[in-house]
This record gives sequence, C-alpha cells and structure tokens, in this order.
Amino acid sequence: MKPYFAILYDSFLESVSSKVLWILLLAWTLILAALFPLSLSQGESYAFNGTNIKSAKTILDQLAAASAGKGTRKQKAVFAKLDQEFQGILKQRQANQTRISVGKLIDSLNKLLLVKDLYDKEIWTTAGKRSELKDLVENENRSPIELERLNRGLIDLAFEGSIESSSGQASWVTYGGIKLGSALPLSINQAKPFIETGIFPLVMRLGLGIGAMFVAIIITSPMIPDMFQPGSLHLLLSKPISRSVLFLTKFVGGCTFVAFNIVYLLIGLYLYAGLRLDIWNTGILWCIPLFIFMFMIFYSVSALVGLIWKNPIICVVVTAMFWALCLGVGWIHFFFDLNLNLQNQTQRIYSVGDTTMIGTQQGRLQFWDDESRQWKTAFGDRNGQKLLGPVWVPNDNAIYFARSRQMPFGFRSGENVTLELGRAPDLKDPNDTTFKTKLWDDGRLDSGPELPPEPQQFFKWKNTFGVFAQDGIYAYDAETAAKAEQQKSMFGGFGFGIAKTVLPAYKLLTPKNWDLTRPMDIGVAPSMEHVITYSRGKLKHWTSQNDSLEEVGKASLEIPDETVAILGTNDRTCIVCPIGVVPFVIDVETLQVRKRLDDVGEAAFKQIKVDSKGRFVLLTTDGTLWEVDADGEKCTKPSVIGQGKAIAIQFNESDQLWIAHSGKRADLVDLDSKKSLLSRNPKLGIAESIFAYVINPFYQVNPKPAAVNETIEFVLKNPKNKTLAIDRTDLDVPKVVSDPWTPIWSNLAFVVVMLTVSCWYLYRQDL
Amino acid sequence: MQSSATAIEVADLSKTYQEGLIFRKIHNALNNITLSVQRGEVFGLLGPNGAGKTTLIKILLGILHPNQGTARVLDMAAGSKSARRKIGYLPENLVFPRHHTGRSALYFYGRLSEMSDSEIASKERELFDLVSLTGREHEPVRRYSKGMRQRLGLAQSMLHDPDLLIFDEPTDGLDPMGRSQIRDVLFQLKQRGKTVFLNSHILQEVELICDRVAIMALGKLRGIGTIDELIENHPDASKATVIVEVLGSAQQVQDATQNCVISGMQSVQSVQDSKDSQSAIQRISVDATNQANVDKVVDQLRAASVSIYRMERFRPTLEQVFMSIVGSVSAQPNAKINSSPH
Repeated sequence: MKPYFAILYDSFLESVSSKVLWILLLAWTLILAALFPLSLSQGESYAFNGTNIKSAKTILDQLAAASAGKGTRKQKAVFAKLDQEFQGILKQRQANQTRISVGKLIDSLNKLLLVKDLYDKEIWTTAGKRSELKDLVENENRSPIELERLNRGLIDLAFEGSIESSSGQASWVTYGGIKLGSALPLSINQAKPFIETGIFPLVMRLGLGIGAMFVAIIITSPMIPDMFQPGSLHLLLSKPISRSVLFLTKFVGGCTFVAFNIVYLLIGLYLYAGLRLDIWNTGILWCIPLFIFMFMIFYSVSALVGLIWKNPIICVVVTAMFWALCLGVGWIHFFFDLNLNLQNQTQRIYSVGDTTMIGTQQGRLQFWDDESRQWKTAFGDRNGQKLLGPVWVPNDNAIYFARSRQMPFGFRSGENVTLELGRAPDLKDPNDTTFKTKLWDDGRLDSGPELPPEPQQFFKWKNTFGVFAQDGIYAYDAETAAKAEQQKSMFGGFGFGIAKTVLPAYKLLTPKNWDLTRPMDIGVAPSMEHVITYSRGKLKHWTSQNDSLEEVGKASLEIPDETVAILGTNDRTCIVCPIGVVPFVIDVETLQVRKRLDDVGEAAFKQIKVDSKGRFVLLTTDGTLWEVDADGEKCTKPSVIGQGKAIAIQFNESDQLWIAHSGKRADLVDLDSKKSLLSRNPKLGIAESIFAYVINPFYQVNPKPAAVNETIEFVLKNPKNKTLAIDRTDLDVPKVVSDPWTPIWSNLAFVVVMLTVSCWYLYRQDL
Repeated sequence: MQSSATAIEVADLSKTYQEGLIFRKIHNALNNITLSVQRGEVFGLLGPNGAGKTTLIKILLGILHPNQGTARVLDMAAGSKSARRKIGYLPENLVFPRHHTGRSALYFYGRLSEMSDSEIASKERELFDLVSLTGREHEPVRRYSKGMRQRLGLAQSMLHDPDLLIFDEPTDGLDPMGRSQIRDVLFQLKQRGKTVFLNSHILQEVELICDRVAIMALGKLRGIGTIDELIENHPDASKATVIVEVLGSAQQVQDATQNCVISGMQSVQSVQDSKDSQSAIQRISVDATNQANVDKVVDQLRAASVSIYRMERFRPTLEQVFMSIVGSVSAQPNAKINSSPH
C-alpha cells in the first residue's frame, strides 16, 4: 500500500473508531426519520385563493352594493350569508369607499363554502340547468366536499367574470397522513417543479450549504492541528513521505470524513424525495460531489489556519470570518447587480418613430437619447411594476401602456389596471417634460380608462391596440375613451362611478361565451387577418370579420393542460412553444401539427416575433435566437450580435430586428446580411462604473463558496423545469444567464492556491 | 557505488531559533557542530536537557532545516526521502494514535515505510517477540503502559530493517524493568551490527551500550570519543590514587594505623557500617605516586590482621566526566573540554 493510501486508510479507521461519526450518522438518521412522514397528497378542494379571483375590486363593489340592497338577487343572497363582521365592513365600504384587502375577501368567501343553506331554489334558478351543478342541486344529502363544490359554483354564478372557476384539483402537505394547513392551489404535478426548483435548493442552501457545512467545519477543525502532536508528527516525518503529501492526505482524509456524511444524508434525501414525493431527482445525488467541493473550499482555509496556529478554535473562528467576508462581498455585489443590472435590464424593445424605446424589468419605459448616449426614463419611474405594452400607434402619436403590480406564478393582485397613454417625447426639445420623474408633473402622460379585468397582453391591432384579457379580446376605441374622459371629469375624478364607464372604451372582439383560462397566450398575424389563441393545451383560430373576431377552428396539443406556452403566427403558419417541449409548427387553416422544431429542442421561449413577410424569430429564456422561415420549414440559429445573450427582440417597420442584449445594449440587425445596422450602447454612469471597475473585479477575484449553490440549484432542476412558470408573465422574469459551472472553476482555483500556500508553508516550517 | 564507512557526517552545523514577533529573541540551539558516526557503531549523544540533542536528530531526519553547515546520513543529504527510507526512528515521548492496536500501528508505520503488507506480516511475529509484546499486539495502544508503547516504538523503527537507527531518549520515564528490556533490544541491535544513534541523558545506559559518545551542552559539542578516551582525558584520571577497602570497623582501621604515620594515606571513609566488625567496610585512599606508600599501607593493615576486601586504582566514571564537563560549561559557556572529534 502506498504511504498516502496508508494515511488515508488510517484516517478512515480513525473516523470509524471515533464517536463523532456515529453521533453524526445517528443525527442524520433521526432527521431523515422525522422527514419521512412528510408528504404531499392530492384531493379535491374548491377553496378560493389568490389565483382565481380575477377582480377583487368588482366583487367587493358588488357585495358592498348588495349591502345597500342593490345588485342581483344572487349577490344579495351571498351577502346575506357572509359573517356579520365582514357584512359590517362591506357596509362601511358602501358608505365611504373603505379599502378591503383581497385576503379578507378570500377568507370570507371560503367560510361561505361551508354554509349549508346558501342554495335557495327561488334565487339560484339557473343553477339546476348547469351540468356541473345539476346533480348537486338535486341531491339533498350532500357530502362536505359536494357542499363545497355547490357553494363554489353558486358564488361563481353570482360574480360571473370576476371569479375563475375551480377544477377542484388541489394538494395538501401531510405529515403521517394528517393534512397540514389549507389546500395548495396546485395539483401534485404542478407542485413538483416548485419543489424541485424552489424547496430542494432552499433545503440544500440552508440545511446543507450552511447548517451541515458549519457542523463539518467544527468537527474537522482539529484534524490538521492534531497532526502536529509532537510524538506523532516527528515519527510521520521520519518516514519517506513528503510533507506536502502528508498534509494533502490529511486534507483528503478530512474531506472523506465529511463526504461519508454527505453521501449518507443525500442518499437518504434522494430516497425520501423518491419514495414520499415521487420525485426521483438525480440532481440530489449530483449534489454529493458539489457539497464535498464546497466543504473543500472552507476546509482549505481551516487547514492553512491549522498549519499556522495549530489551534482548532482559531481554525473555526478564521473560517467563519472568511465565510462572513465572502458573504459580505457577495451581498454587496448582488445589491449592485440587482439594482443596476437585473432590475434595470431590458424586458421589451420597440421602435417608436425615429427613436428606440425599451421597457425595463422594473416597469419603466426608457427612450434612447443619442446626445447623452443614455436610456432616459419617461412617464415616471414607479418601480416594481409589471408592464403591459407599450404599443406605439403612429396615427394617434400615442404610446399606450399600463402598469400593474408584479405578482409571480399567476397570483393576482385583484386590483384593476388603468390604461396610460403618452405622446412620444421630443428628445431634441429641452423643455420636453416627458422625462420628469413624477407623474403629476408630466404634461405628456394621460390616465386612460380602466382596462378590462385581468389584462394579459397588449398588441398592435389595426389602427389602435388590442387587449388580450381574461374574458376576451378587446380593441381600444379612442373616441369612446374620450367620451369616458369627459364623464370622468363630470363625476369629478376616480372612483366607483368611473367603473361604469370602463367597458365602452374597449370593444369586445370575441364572443361572450369566452372560455379561455390561464395559462394562455395570443398570436396575431402581421396581416391582422388571423389570430391564434392558446389556453391550457388548446388552440383556437380566429379570423377578423369586420369589427370582430370569429372562431373558425380549434385543436388540442398533446401536452399537459397546465403547460405554459407562447406562440407567434403569420397567415399560414403558427409556431407554438410550450415550456420544456419541442415547439410545434401548426398549419393555421387546419390547426394541425405540420412538424416539430427538433433542432430547437426542449427549450423555454420568452418571445416570438413575426415580420411582415411572415418570418419568425424565437427567443429562449437563455438568450438564444432562432430564425424560422414563414412556412416553418427551415430553422437556423442566426450568427448575429447578441446571440446567446439576447433578452428582448422586436421587428421594426422595415423588418429589421432590434435585439436587446447584454443588459442595456441594443442592436438593430438585418437578418438577411446578419449585420448590425445601428447600435445603442449606453455609457456607464458613476454607479455603473464603480460596479464595473471596482466591485465586480473584486468580487471576481474574491472566493465565492456560496456561488456553488448556483451550481447545486442548476443540477437540482429537472431539465424540463429550468424555467419555473405557471403563467405567461413568469417568462419575463430576468434570468441570470451565467455558466453554472463557473463557480466550480473559480473556487477550484482558490482551493488550489490555498493548498499550494499550505504545502509551501509546511515545507518551509521547522516542526 | 561503494558506500563510505560513515553513517552520519555533520559539519559546522548551526541552528538558530527566533522567538517573538516584535521583540525577536534569537536562541542558538546548535553551534558549529561537527561529528561523524561510523557504520556499525553504537553512538551515544549525551547532554543535559536543552543541550541541542533533539535538534541535531531532527536535522538528521529533515524535520528541521539547519541555518548553516551540512549534514549527511548514509551518504545522502540529511532529510532526503532516500535517506529517510533507510532510517528507523524512535522519537522522544512517542504518541500512537488512540484508535490503533499494537498490530495495526505496526502495519500503519510499516506501510509508511513503503513496505507491503506481506513484508510486514513476515516480520511482525519476530518483532513482537523481540520487544516482548507477543500476546498483547491486539490490544488498543491506549491501554499500553509507557514501556509497552516504547517497545512498540522500537518495533516499528526496526520493521523495515533500516541501516541506521536513531533513538531519542528511548528509556526516558521507564521503570527499571522497562529500561532493562529496551537495553536488551539495543544489545541485540549492536550484535547484529546495526548503526545506532542513541540520544540519552541516562549515562549508565550509554556507558553500557555505546562504542562512542559525544557530549553536548548549550548547543555545542563539548567532548567526543570512546568512553575510555573521554575518561582518560578527564583531569582526575591522571591522579594516581589507589583505593583499598578493608573489612573491619573504623576503630580497627584506626588502631592498625595509629602508631605509624603512613605517608600517602589520604583518607579513611566508612563504606558500610555494621555492628559486626567483620561485615563493616572501610575505604582508604592512598596516594600511589610512590608505590612504596601503597606497599606500606598494605603491610601495616595486614600486620594488624585487617582483611583487605578490595583494592583498585582509581578511575573517574562517565558520570563524573559528564558532570565535570557540563558543570564547567555552566560556569564557562564557551569552554570545550577534551573534545576530539572523530
């Protein structure tokens, strides 16, 4: 046996004979045993939650009106069965417009689901005619879940259009078969990606990345100092082994001890996830070498300190200080990166007249100012907003857009959204007030009529713009909107009265029996003759007939209903890109799948743009651009500037493509020649310069053990779940496009440096 | 390549320690040490605590780096891997990792000496017998007495059949039985013709075993040579004195010598007192510069019917030599007494 194997084997024997190993193994066993009863169970629930209240304001207004004896009989019946406290609050709202939280409304409606006598044959006359309620109405002996289903159906009827119906599918967290808390508004299949991409990384980051790592550092801290026990060390050094080998073998011995524990714990977690949650995620097993590597980073520091001071306590203290330093530098970098880069990152790009406009992640609209070579914020700088639009309508010289509160994963804020419209700024006019930061100072921004409930997307539609909303497709009617504005001024401002004037400003293009629910998307052909909609795995083809859209065909895709997808269409071909599924090329006339874009693979797409000739450009969440010809036959990855790091795309009127990339850069590209025609490369401000030339270089040089968590999160993600989305808007979340293996290389370099310094120190030292 | 007869060759070796970060204190642990040890020789290194003996050994093993001078072991640079391959070392205060049994420790250190398990297995029985640990080899070393640990240490040092054995205080802290057992092992090594470099401050041990001895004090070599050479070079050795031990009480001796003044008789000292005059022993020192003095004292004693029990010429012991050297060094740190480097 080679001497270093002998030391390694001896370290193993030492570990086995030590109580610490067995205590740790017992601790891990107890943790796994405690975890094992925790599971998910699927069942039926019709409870309300944040994702199925479309318009809380409308419901609250209607209930408040019912408290004053106004509204429909059904609404009054619902009001009558609400608890007294909430009834009182609603009466106050009717009297003085008191604000009521969406959570309170949901709580009260959920209590109503258990009321036995909500159904009254005289009031709910249409309920018996509905297929989903017919049986329930006729059955006198309803089970609790049947009662819940009936009451939910009745409440949906009372507030049609404001509540999304429930499929009854729900899941619970259970412990030993006992349900914990209320139902989750997700099926188990929907919950799995969240567990894999949210819960697992969190457990790994906090439990293993911090907790177990700290325990490991404490336990292994005496290993190197113990090596210096005089009677033992001198004998070892008298043997024909080099000091470096002796040290490195001891180092590996420490890592092996920790590895043994990590293997035990993670195999236990892997089996738990597989057996109890039915998630057989091999990423958990890949975490084993990654956590060992993460430990090596800290242990390389602890080992050097052990060589110098030969004291385990100093090892732990200095390693903890090193950890704190790395975290501190990481947090400073993250803070600047978030504020300067991520939040400020381009989300959409447009060509507005002779200038360029971008929409940022924060919901700001910015125009390019050639003179200052900067993006200048227009129309106020309210942050943390989700941007709808903008759509540039040259005839009106207006930019239409809206901003609403950002709610991830399809949760609804429940608030109504108001249209905003502004004129394109004159960048050459020094008195132009567009760029003032306060909305009320900005003479060029007008507040328009309230948008239809739950607006999803704005799109260019003939001489105006269209709104793809939860209950249909609307076209903005500027003339009616102007009349509404007049009414608004007559009523003296915002408020309840305005709600009545909302809808006339938007003409409903689709029939009233609209049944599309989220996740959904819309594709409008450049000719505006054909519109394709996607909803829960189903496609519908609409054609433009006078001032409306007529459904001319529908088809289903063989994908799970909850799959989020985006689509783009021309008059002949539609491309549908569901997340984690090879995109479909659909024939517009027949809605039949013509082919699949196998070259593209199972990617996640965030934008599809179509030029006037029908050519498609697809953008993945990873920043890759794909060009597909008008018939969907030829698919290539164009070699254009920004390829691989693109974040937004848009064709201008000359069919040239604007590509926003690398944070705030944008280039206008001719797709035929692949050449950049125009470049928007903003110069760095003071904060950006400090970040680019001071913080970022220091961060890059500084060791980043916590960055290994990014690699761990990467391996934990099921390839199909790389983009976590349960709604179309989730695709707009900025993705930090970085190589997940970079932390491994940079930290490996750090470990090598530390071990080299340690070997050199040991070589030079008199022992 | 023919190997030279020298096992250890040290020339002008100096080692300095620096202490303190701000107020640096320099401590000379070794100061221009020059010595050599022949192959097959049992060489003893004597000196009080802090003399620099362990420092010298650590340099020979490459554990410490000298500031000045050269050290070669078995014709190789001291501390080199090839040199260490041929050295067996028993450190002072040897500590075995607690998880080992005697046998597993032997295997561990054997593997570190680049031995295969089969090689170790072929030698373990012989070694355990040699160090009298047979039957105890499967016990955890944490249950071993200090003597057993030292003997196990001896076994591991001999396991790979090294050309040079370096023992640092091998009998330190052991009871007489333990010392005797260690000494037996050392004798056996001597008989096998192994080169042994023995560092000890137990003089009897050194006197009994070593062919040559070096005495160090305060980082300097104060004397070197065979024990006889060291003794002969001692100032007291030139004094001509004969010690006569007689049976009888002090009174009897006094009576036998009171009537005559014996020139050359220096002192009478009671060695063993007893009520029984036949078992009491008195020691008489006689100046032997003139042989007639000795004859006269013997005649006188015999005339008085005093039995002569023992009679010998005085010769200083190694301890006396050592004490005289170390004592004089304490008074004169730079003194070098009778040093005759080989």
